[in-house]
Amino acid sequence: MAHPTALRSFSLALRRTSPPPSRGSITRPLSDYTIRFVRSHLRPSHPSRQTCRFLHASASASSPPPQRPAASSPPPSSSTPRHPTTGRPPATHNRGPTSSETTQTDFSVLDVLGATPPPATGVDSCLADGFALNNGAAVHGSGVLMVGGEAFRWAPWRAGVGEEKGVRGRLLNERGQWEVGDGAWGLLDVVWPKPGTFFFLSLRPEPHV
Amino acid sequence: MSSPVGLADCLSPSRSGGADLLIIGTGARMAPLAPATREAVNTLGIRVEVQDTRNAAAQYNLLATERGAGQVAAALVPVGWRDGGA
Repeated sequence: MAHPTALRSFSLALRRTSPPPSRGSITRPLSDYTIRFVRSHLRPSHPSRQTCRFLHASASASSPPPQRPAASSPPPSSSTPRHPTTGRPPATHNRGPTSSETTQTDFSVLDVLGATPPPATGVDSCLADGFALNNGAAVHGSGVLMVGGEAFRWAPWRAGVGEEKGVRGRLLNERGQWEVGDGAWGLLDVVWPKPGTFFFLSLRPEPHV
Repeated sequence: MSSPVGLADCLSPSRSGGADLLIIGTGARMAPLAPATREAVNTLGIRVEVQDTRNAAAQYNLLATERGAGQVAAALVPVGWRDGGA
């Protein structure tokens, strides 16, 4: 593996010996392929003038630098990857002519819920002390519990956190967890078990292994 | 808002509170759910989704529109609620 100091010397040497950029050309940084090539041929001793000339010849023998593209034409594609620290913004954001393909995505078709009406008890806006629902009703001074398409005033802080401790008016316990008393779920408790819940009891004997 | 008629509708099989998902809005900020509270809701056969109130309301609106208001339930605390404000 080449010493980093030696590699930096090579980079400086390449800049001194490389010709000045001609008019219309683009000065390119050292590509990853070139760096790997240099490392594979770099000796641990002092770099020689022959190696510098070899690098200069290999750089000039590669494909000529692309011309600066016009403002309306798309940027030329580059086969060599750019170094991440020397990236430049693209010269143009033009993506070429408009596509006439019929397989393009029509995002208006993907709006499958566009014609579906929202629920009447949906939340239209969240207020500081309550909610405004889609049906025009406004709730102030309490939360809402929406079950089965119905909306109910809900004040879980009245159920108390750790009611035996007499702590009311709080929704966070000493650990910072959101906790309410069992009485807060009274409505859900009345509704359960859910109609339509089926219990399957299999009487088949277990297969013998 | 709460009325005996609304409650009876929830109890009837046709308008069951057959919700299998409960979205809890914990206020201005999301707070983790205490294990006891989560277990209490899960015992009712309902899954729990915990978010801050604004996001919980948006998710309830979307799911209720998509799946129906009978499939999803929501329990929302006002965004301005502060502990000790009762």
